[in-house]
Amino acid sequence: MALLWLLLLAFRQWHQVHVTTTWNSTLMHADLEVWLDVGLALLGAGLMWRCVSAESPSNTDTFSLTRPMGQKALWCGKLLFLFTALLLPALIVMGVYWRGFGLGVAQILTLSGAVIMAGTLLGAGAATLTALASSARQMIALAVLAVIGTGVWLAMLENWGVVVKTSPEECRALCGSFVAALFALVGLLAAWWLATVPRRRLTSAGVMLTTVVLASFIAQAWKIDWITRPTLDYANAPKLGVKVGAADPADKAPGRGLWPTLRLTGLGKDEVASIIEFAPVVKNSPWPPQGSFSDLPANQNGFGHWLHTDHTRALFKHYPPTTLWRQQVNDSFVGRKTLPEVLQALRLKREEAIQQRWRLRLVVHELKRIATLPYRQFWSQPNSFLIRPGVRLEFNPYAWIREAWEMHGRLHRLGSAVLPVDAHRSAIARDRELRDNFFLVLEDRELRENFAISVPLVARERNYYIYRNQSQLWQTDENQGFEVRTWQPSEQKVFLQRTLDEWIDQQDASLWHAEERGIIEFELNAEQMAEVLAEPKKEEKKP
Amino acid sequence: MNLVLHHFRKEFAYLLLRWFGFLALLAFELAVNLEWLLPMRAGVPQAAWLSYLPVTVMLAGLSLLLSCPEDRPGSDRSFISTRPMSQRDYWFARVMTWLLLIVLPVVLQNGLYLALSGRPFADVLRGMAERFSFAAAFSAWLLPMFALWQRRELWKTLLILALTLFLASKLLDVIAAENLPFIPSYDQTWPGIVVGWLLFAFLSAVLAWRHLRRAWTFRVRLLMTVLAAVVSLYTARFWVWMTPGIRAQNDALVHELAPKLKVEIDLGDARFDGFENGFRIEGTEIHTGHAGVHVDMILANSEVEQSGRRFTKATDDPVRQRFRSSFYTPQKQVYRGDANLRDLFPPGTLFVSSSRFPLWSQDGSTHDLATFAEPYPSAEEPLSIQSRFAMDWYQRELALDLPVMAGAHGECDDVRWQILEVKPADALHLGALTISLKMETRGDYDAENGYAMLLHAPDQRLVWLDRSSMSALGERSSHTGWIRRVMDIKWNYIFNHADGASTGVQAEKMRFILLRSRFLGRSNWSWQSPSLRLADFPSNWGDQVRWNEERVLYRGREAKFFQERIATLKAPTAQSAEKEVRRYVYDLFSAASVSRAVYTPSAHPSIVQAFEPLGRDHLPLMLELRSHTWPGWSNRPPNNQLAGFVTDEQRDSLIDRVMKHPRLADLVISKGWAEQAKRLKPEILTRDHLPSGLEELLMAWNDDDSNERLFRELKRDLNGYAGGHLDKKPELRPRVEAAIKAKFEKVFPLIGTQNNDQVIAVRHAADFGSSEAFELCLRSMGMGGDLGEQSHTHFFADLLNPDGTEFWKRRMPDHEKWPFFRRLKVSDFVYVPEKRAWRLLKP
Repeated sequence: MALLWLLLLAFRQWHQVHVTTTWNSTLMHADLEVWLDVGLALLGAGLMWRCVSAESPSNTDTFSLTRPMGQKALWCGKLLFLFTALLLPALIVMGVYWRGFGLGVAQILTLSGAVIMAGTLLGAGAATLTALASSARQMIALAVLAVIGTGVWLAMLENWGVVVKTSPEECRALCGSFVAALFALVGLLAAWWLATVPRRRLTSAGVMLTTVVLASFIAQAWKIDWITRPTLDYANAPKLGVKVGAADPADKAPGRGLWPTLRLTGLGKDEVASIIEFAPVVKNSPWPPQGSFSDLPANQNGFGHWLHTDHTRALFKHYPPTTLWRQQVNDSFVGRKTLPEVLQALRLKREEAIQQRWRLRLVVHELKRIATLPYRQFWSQPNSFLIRPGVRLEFNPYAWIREAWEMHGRLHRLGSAVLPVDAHRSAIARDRELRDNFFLVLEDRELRENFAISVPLVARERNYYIYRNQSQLWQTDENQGFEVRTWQPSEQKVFLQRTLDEWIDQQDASLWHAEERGIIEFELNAEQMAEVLAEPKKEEKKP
Repeated sequence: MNLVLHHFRKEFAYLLLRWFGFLALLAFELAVNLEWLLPMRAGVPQAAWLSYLPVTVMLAGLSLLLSCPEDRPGSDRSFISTRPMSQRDYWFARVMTWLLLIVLPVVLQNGLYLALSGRPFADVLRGMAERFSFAAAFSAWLLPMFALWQRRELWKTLLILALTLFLASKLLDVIAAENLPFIPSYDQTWPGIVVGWLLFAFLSAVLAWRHLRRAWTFRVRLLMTVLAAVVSLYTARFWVWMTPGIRAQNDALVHELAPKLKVEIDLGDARFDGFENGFRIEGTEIHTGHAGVHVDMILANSEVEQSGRRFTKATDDPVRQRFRSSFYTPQKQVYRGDANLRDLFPPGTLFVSSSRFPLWSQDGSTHDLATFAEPYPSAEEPLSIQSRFAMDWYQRELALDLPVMAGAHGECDDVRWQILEVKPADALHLGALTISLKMETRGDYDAENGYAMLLHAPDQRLVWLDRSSMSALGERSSHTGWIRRVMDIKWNYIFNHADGASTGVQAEKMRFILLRSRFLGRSNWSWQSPSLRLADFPSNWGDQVRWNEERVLYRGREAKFFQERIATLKAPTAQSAEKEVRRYVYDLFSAASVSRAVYTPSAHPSIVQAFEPLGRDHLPLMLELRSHTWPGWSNRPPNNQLAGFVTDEQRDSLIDRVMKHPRLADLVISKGWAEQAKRLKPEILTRDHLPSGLEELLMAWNDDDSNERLFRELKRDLNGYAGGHLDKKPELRPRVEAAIKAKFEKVFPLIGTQNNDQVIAVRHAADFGSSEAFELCLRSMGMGGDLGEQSHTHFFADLLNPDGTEFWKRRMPDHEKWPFFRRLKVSDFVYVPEKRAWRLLKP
């Protein structure tokens, strides 16, 4: 049975990796995920049942009561069995899976602790119930109840577990469940001890019931959230400033233009500012108001990528100046609106707008090169890049699927759910977190042409089929998928008579990461706004 | 006392408490389903635990089959074995217990629910019959179980059975994913499940009967039971093969209409994408001759004859018919955007869709004319095709039409609606409309009928085809024959446009509509092609060159970047190798298109200058490359540059190439060689498909034959060149106008989703003076901002400023354009026939 447990653990882990990394896997049709979890829970509980029922302490006929062996030793022996047969295989299997994510000691210890805790809870629960049951009939009744309970619980998990816990409220609930589980662990072990060593069934049952009731109460009532981190303020805020009005040709540092009459100064070399919101501040009204402008509108098509043209332009300086660029970015962004269009969306006339105080909320990202490889390496073999501990960008090789060359991959986050993985919370724009985004830049060395592809990560909010949340109790395991569809440019095929292989071999591929540097806000007073919203010059009529 | 009755009474006494508990649960479920308890409310999600209620009732029911422990015949030491009671009497009593205590209450509860829900008597009987089948089938298998198994064996057996069935089911799904056109567990039908359970009950009874006579060992019984379970499972899974296809609902009407069916196949719209992908056609016109009735045309088989040889391929196997891809299922027929749908609403109604995928603009879309199996015929040789089609007939109607106000309700055959609440807007979505709807329907799944919810503003003559979102808040009484659901349905930009301006729509004047399509039946239809060469037809996925253009990246510095980039290139000399020249051409075209210099007049001199060495020294290569698309407009550089370099020496070779590379026709005409190219005329006139570019030769010849051929092309005349050309001849003008009008009369006026053909048809009609079409243009332009930044599917027409200059030369940003057109009416314009445009009366 212990061997079966190990095999099932290994199969479940293999299956999890297989269905995530294989496009349209045949096994996906079997829809095994939830059943493997059910199977593991039942097998683990069954293992403990067999172990404890062999010397059932509540059964006065049990042989162990007559053996020259203390009940304490018996209990410790069972505990050792729980560790070696149930927990150790789970730790080994999971440990293999955790490799390659650059996790630190604290993360590994917490992840291991979570496995031990989950396994011990399951084992101790099953062991206590078995120890309390004095006959096979009682045990069967308890087992049936446990099976139904597990089924209901897993069905609920299936419904509720689609999205990784990220909001403060969800994180608080997670902290509560962790503390409650710790409490339940101690309580269940104590109940098992009481049923086995002093053989006080009633007390044991009482402790078990109290533990279950109190644990659920703790989970509900817990208030402290140690997981959620605050959002990051831009560190170089004192250096950053805004310039308003038309740029002076003599000005050597005119700043980077959000609009021709509104520019930012002091940004770092590879830093790019995106407008989270830009709107007037109206007294006693919530900000931002409806119609506020944002560079980062919610993507209705279910994608979580938000990089825009300014980010592509920030890459220009890393390549020869006459390099020809093409881009494939978030398709809901078609260039920044003009200021009159911004006013139109806010239903403001210029005269009204320049009498109000405006707020400009920005988020700054820095573009960092992760790696540059021959494109052929992306084309023909899987690649994986560690972005930071616990976050890995994984690429499958290209394959001809649905009339295109498709490269599938995923942003894979793995870590303890009860420890904050990141130093800060991602900036939020229009109710969505601006999480890690990437550019894959195809660099044609011969033609001096670059193609910047914003890796089209699927939105986590959508239960899209390439988004897989395989998080377990207190472990985050999230795969935010993407599909890059590519064709050999037909103009190269016809005009240059390039073959597919030549096209691939002439290119390098660079991976760029947009790393958040923080959020900053500016307030623009009425005078500044009058310059930002300068009156359009009236064209003089020719005589 | 009768022994049967005696035993039944004993069982009843034993089960009395549990049975009353079961009845109480049934009563509670009935009250919940009827919403006497915990009614579903607008905007309030249903308590999650309620979804477990049917399972709880089912488990409680099954527990009643656990008879008195001492009377279970599975063990030879059971009390029943010693009683002077025949097996027959015992089983009669057991069946009586099962039917009276479990099945009957369940069926009666279902009947009561349906009757109290106001269903007609026939529906109540039907629902009870379905419930009886399901309840009986699902519980009958437990009856023989106690004869087959002893108590200590039962749980072990159940565990092994569950595991085996689980593995068998998953294994079948995995195998089916590779080898079958359906996934058995997903395509499982309720009749299949009932049949599977009944079979298992029957096989278990046979096993129990044999066991009571032969006393089989545990292993034998287990093996036999597992086998029976797997056979039953697979029977249930594959029952879908036995299920007839969709049920015809009005065969009589089909028989009446089928002889009058008109199908117009114009091979000019045909495409040949290789033998693997078949010979297809777009835009086939099918006239059923009955309002609201349309036909879905499915290729059944095709036979190709070439030089006396016959090639046949049949595609109408039942599996393909039944498991059509989800886009072509009968339910999806409701979404067909065509004149039938248009005619269900008052004339001039504009339809709005915000669907990401162009669901509503697929008017039958593409049809297979022939498919091929190896060995293939030759694409280069003439052949003829005879195809047989299955014609599926559907009828659509406005099944429900309610005012948009709380409390409004309505009912049709199998759907009942009640509007619980109408919320005009919320803080985040100004202008949105949310309707909380209680919907009651007959079945879980309707294979024959399709349904769609539409929002209609009669005073604005607008119909919104797609909702922005729908959230299900609760569901009751599934599998009873009358399901109740509550949902919130939201539409954006109903009361306000995206820029905040009021739309003038009033909720109380709107209508909430249920559009329903019904499958009427099927008929057959055959098509015989003329003699044709498949190679003459273009491919949808041809090797067309697509030059990339960056809309945002080089905005404002198109010419500057192009000049900087081109300065880094080394111009070819007369001695340059072909590879170098090709590279230069590519670099030039690529830079000009990506930077959009081809659309920037200030960059045109630079393009002309950069092109000069190519025309001068490498003309043959450039003529060869001219067969492919070049970037930019056809009358601007680099497209118009070749004519300056081509000499008379190249004339004949150029004309020879035109049939294979039709884009060269433009060059032939610009060089004044149209007359010499007349030798191509016979071939051009006989071709079914006129490749893009050759219409220019026909226009240049401008004789009766050529113009007659151009009339055939009017349908595909996207840019209006042929129409404009024919319109110049006064004697042809009435025919052109009639053709444009006829085309407009077939238009489904849909905006917001891909609908290019219709956009062109409306534009042509407006340009040719149709005030109805022009009004559609103005109204759709006013809504342009609501359709999303990616959408360009609004109607537009040629306009003139009050001074007679072209309106569209004026650069008007979108945020000004939409409000501008919103204020305008047709009466603010006057039609100028000589310009085929509408002139604005006031600035």
